[in-house]
Amino acid sequence: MKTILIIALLLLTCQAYPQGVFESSLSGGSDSGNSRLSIGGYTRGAAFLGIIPEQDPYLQSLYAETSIKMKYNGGSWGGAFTDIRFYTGSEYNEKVHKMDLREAYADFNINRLGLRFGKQILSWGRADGFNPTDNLTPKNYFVRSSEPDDLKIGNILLRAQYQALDFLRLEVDLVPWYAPSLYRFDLIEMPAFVRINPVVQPGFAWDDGSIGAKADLIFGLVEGALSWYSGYDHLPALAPGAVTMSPTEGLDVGINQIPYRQQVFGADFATTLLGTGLRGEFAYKVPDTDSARPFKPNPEFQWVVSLDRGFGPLRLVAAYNGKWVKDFIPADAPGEFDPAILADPSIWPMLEGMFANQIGYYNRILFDQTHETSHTVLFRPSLQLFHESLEVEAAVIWNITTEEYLLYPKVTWKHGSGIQASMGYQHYAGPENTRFNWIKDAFNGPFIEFKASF
Amino acid sequence: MSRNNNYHYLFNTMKINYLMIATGLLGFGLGCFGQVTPSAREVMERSRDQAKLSGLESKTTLEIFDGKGNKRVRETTMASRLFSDGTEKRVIVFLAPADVKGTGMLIFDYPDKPDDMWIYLPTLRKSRKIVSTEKGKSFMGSEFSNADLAVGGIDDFTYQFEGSEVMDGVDCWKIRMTPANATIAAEEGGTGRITWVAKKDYMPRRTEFLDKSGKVYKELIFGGIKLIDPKGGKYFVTHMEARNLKSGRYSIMNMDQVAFNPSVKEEYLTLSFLENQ
Repeated sequence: MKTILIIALLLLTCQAYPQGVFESSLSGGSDSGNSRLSIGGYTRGAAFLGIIPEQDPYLQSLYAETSIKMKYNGGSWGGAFTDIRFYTGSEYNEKVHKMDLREAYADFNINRLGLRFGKQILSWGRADGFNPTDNLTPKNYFVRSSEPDDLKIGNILLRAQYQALDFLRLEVDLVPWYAPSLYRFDLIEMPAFVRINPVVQPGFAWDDGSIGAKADLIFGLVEGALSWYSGYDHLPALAPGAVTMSPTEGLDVGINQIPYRQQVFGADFATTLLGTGLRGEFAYKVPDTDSARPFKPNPEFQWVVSLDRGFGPLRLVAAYNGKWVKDFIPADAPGEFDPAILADPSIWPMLEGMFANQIGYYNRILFDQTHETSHTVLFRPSLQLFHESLEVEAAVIWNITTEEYLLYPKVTWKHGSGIQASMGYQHYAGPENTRFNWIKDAFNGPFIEFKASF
Repeated sequence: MSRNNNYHYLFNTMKINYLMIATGLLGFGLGCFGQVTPSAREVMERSRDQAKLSGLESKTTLEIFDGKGNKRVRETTMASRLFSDGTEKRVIVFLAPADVKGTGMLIFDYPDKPDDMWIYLPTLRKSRKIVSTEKGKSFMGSEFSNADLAVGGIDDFTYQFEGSEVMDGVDCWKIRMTPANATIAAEEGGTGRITWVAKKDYMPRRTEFLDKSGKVYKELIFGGIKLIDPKGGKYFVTHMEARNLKSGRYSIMNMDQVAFNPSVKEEYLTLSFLENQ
């Protein structure tokens, strides 16, 4: 904390340079343009109630959070940005107090070359709702927040952007360290003898880094990008861990979370047509061949097409997401283990193979590869009312193939001074052995959030 | 896990484009003409043709009053530059309220084809190419509509002199604007407008909007007109009011800071700047 305050004081003492109206306004300075530091952020309180059938409602999450964002504008040469979050509350019956340096990076610009180094979040892909080319930084899939951006997690990396031509921008991202996405397997109902082990961290060798490259082509009528990523999928695959069978202590099955490397070849585009925004995104993912990590998804091709259009105060976003899994071998979901059979030591020698089969299917669920071809649609109508002070929206995601769906209505009231209140309801559902079925008990329920931005 | 995005910001903020176009359009006029009185269309055409500055930086405050004493405030800053091929590029960034701070727009306004427009949403962390239509929609929840603040095509209306009147102490031409076709009429939602354009500087002073029965239901008032480019004889509107005469709601837009700057940095007018500002 002391370090943060010292940094803030140092930034505050930075002296000004002559600035125009535009630059001075962006710096957040006074009318005389005497400051290049701006400080903002928000404070919010939120409560998420859990609804599980045949159980009493419970508090999934109750917290207060303050975000302090500091931005230093160094003019043409660059600048710096920091987002620090202070959080206290409870999540899933555990008290949580934490300070998170969500982002902290510095920019350095040399003519057409822009360098950004530090902890940062990258978002690739032009499509709405689904972005298969967005693989550079991890996500927290179990964060409790009404803001989609809160899913994103920063990672330390170097980003270089070069404006080669007016219509061509090149980008290279070097990610020295692996950081996993967060997936709360502990919140998913599993047999008592199953233990999910922490993510196995790759080393810090050069070979354990990741790299991404992208070429953005910006033309008047249409724009798009070609991209390539070589590195770890931030969501680790599941692999069998140690299995111990003891007549006295019973059965203990470990499941390891092991990151695997992949290559992702991507493309996207955006255009406008007849008053409608039209976007698309395509990605071919190829996990690296690595005998040391046998549990990983098959190669897959994913495509997304999305539309958005306004009809007066109503805006509609619709997206279609398709996936084809290469080298797909059909498999039925393994049945649940019968405790009576597991208690019989004579079958224990066969259990490892059975568990491996089960974990393999868990991976299929985790990576949406239970079917050779799958189709998902998203609809999100939103309505602005009372001179845009009230927004009513409803998101629907429906996986036609697996029959999973999400219903997410939300109402947000905004006062012009940065005060807003939101309330909504998340409802995930799906058949057995689907991802939404896994997470439904961790998410389903109403929430309310008050937020003041400053 | 839901990965849906926040598009309401997009819907709100795309409209800032029109505001700035309008302040550009309305801010320019001719210093003087010859003694020959132009036609009504020529008056409007000359104002429109003079509607572009070679470069401008500004900071704007929009106050929205609901008629019950409540006020909401939004602030933006803008930089624009006119290029030799006639393309005007503008970048606009929201400064307040805090929940939309950092939202930005980039507009390429071409002389001979529809605009290209991008919006940057901090919550999405990327820019999006968007549609530059929806003329009839309220601008940022204010009494200004997008159409009020857009340049609009000169052929969208027919123009007719209705004499001369002194408006706010300034001798003006009074011009009736009638929608040229059913599509424009539908977008207008009424039978047209009456506008007062000052003879001395070709700047508008007032516009009244007529409903289907021909009654005035809304008015725009222009003030704070300043000579911003003495060499080029360019004037600029620094104060605008939109009043809804039926609901009592009104909105005020003030250009708090304006600087004529033909040398606005080109780097401001790029997607890279928009995404990294």
